[in-house]
This record gives sequence, C-alpha cells and structure tokens, in this order.
Amino acid sequence: MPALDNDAFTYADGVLETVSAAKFTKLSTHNSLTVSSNAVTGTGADAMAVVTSWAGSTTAQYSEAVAGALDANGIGVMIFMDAVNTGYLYEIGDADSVFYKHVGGVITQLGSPATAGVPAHAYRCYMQTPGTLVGSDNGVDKITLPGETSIVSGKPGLFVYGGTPRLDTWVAGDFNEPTPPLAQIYPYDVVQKIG
Amino acid sequence: MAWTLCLVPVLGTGSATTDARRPKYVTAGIKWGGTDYGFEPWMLIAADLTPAQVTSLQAQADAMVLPSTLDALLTAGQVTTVQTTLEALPVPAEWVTTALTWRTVIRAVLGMFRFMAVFARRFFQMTGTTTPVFTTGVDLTRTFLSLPGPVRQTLSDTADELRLDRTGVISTTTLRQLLKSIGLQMAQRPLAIGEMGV
Repeated sequence: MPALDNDAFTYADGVLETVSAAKFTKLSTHNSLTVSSNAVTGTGADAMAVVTSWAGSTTAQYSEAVAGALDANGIGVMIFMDAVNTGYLYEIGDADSVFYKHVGGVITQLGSPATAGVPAHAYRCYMQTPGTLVGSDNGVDKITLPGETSIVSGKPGLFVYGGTPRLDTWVAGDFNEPTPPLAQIYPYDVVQKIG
Repeated sequence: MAWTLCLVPVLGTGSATTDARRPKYVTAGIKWGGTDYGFEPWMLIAADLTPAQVTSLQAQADAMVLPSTLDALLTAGQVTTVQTTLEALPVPAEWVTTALTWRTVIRAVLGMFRFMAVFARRFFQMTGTTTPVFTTGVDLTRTFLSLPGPVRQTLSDTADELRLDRTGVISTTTLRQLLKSIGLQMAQRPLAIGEMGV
C-alpha cells in the first residue's frame, strides 16, 4: 500500500486550507480545520476536509492519521469523499471508535463501536474489497463492515470534532486489492424463485 | 448471544455524528450491522442479542424481529404480518407467500434496501437534496413515467451502477414492480448483514 500523499502539518498556526496552499478543501456544509502546533484541530462539530488533488485510485484507497489528542468524539480519517458532503468516516475517540456514512450531509452510523482510541496510535480507514469497509488501530483491524456499498468512489480526507482533539501526520494511498471477477462478485445462487 | 435480524425505525436526524441515524432499540454495547432504506426512516439490521434483548425487541410495536431459523417456510400468519409490516414502510411485499423461506424473503428485502442506499447517494449527487422518495403523493403505485425526472434518472443510474437488468422497465412500470425486480436480482448475489451471511 504505497503512500501517494501525506502531510505532517508543519505550518504556522492558522486555517488548514490557507496555510497548506489549498491542499485540503473543507466540505461545504461542515466546519473548518485549523493547524495548531503542527497538528490539526477542529473549529466546531464535524469539521471535515478532503484532499484537493488526488492522483491515486478513487475506488481502492486508504486514509491514515496519528491521534495527537483524543476526547469523546475525537479525530477521524475518511475515504470516498466528494468535496460537498459524502464519504465514509472512521472516527476515533477516547470512549470508542465507530464508522459513519455521510451521504449528502445525512450522517448514518455503521455498525457498533469498537474499543477506545489511544493517543499516538495510527488509525487507518480502507475499503478492503468492494463493499467491505475496515478500520484499523496500529495495523490491527478493529472494525470490519461487510456489505457497505452505498459509496463507491471519491478521495481521502480527514476529520476532527471540536477544538480539543488533535490529528497529526496524515498519509493516504492506494489499497492494492485485486478486483475480483464479476462472476465472483455476483454469482447466481438463488435456489428459490419469487413468483 | 445470537445474531438476530430485525427491522427497526431509525433514530437521529443525521445532522451530526453526535446525532447520527442509527437503529432504534439498539443500545450501547450491542454489536450490529445493517442497511438503511435510503433516506427513508427504516433500517434492516443484524444485532448480536441476548434472549432477553430479543424478547424486549419483540415487544416493540414498531420493530419486527425475524426468526432465527431462516430456512423455514413462512406460515400464513407470518405472511400476513410480513406483508403488513413491509408495505407500511413502504416495501413491496405482495410476492411474499407460504411457498418461500425466510431466507428468500430476507435476501430480496435486503437487496431492495441496498439498492435504495446507493440510490440515496446518487440522488443527492444529482439534486443536492436528501428528501425521501416516498414523500407526499409518492407510493408504490406510482409509475416510472410519473416520477420526477431526477428520481427516474437516479433509479436508472443506480441500476446501471449495480449492474442490474432494467430492460423490462417501461413507462408504466410501477415502483412496486421495479423494487420487486431489483430485490429478486440483488438476491442472486452473496449478501451479508452484520456478521451474518444470509
């Protein structure tokens, strides 16, 4: 899984989009992210940004970041984002970690939470195979969600909730899972016919 | 503990992660996975429940707990209950009979839910709105031609994205017929919900 883009946020304190030369685009209906002490914090609830230019795969990708500081809501990594308000969010807090789906600003929890995050751990969100969403903690898969096909493409990004939690050292790249043949994805296995 | 399939209402406005859409009656600590019915206020989920939790859920008037024996045929009474419950959402269910197993019924219904989840994403991308399909004046009797243009286009685009056959859809095809066809086609694929293969 080679890294195709990264950011350590080693800028002067300020608004992320401005100081990083528009590397990230704030989602239109969400709060901004800011840089503070070489880490990213939020300016309110559900602050999100998507990488502006992405040369990697739009369908097989990962997004990973290090948790600088956590609270109940925490930081998050996102994949399959658009620049408006759609994408998958793997949110890591000091109480638990949980997946969400954002579709047009409508946020839906996906499955149940896993154990709490740990500061300085690296958290990764990726689509393991088409339709299987995975969140990992320091390389150990913590949440696996099969059958999630609502969003199929987009760009990676990041998330911070509120001003307390901090996110650092973001990296993203392609997740090189071979695409199974269609016959494997959609085999005919119905034994009963609905009249 | 056992993984149990349930049809439940959605809680939450979905306006923030702190008020995300999530299944009603599924409290903290319960493992679950599921699919929402697009922007409609319903979810089909599988949850890892204790017998007491199953009993509690069965007592809720707005939830439907499905049997653990998926390969049993539905009884006449169960057919009536399933049809009444699904049609109220609305999900087409006139095709449910005593000749079908629970597994067959659940796979088709899950297929419809999965389709609507993808539809919702595409509909927002096209229109910028998150309005449920089944709003005022729209029910399962509506024909394809009578639907708003963006809904028609998104239904077609969603079918193409999911590689579904829509050659039989004509102007007079109803939403009931359309969703049933989609459910049947989606049921031909491997389907999992939560940690259950169905």
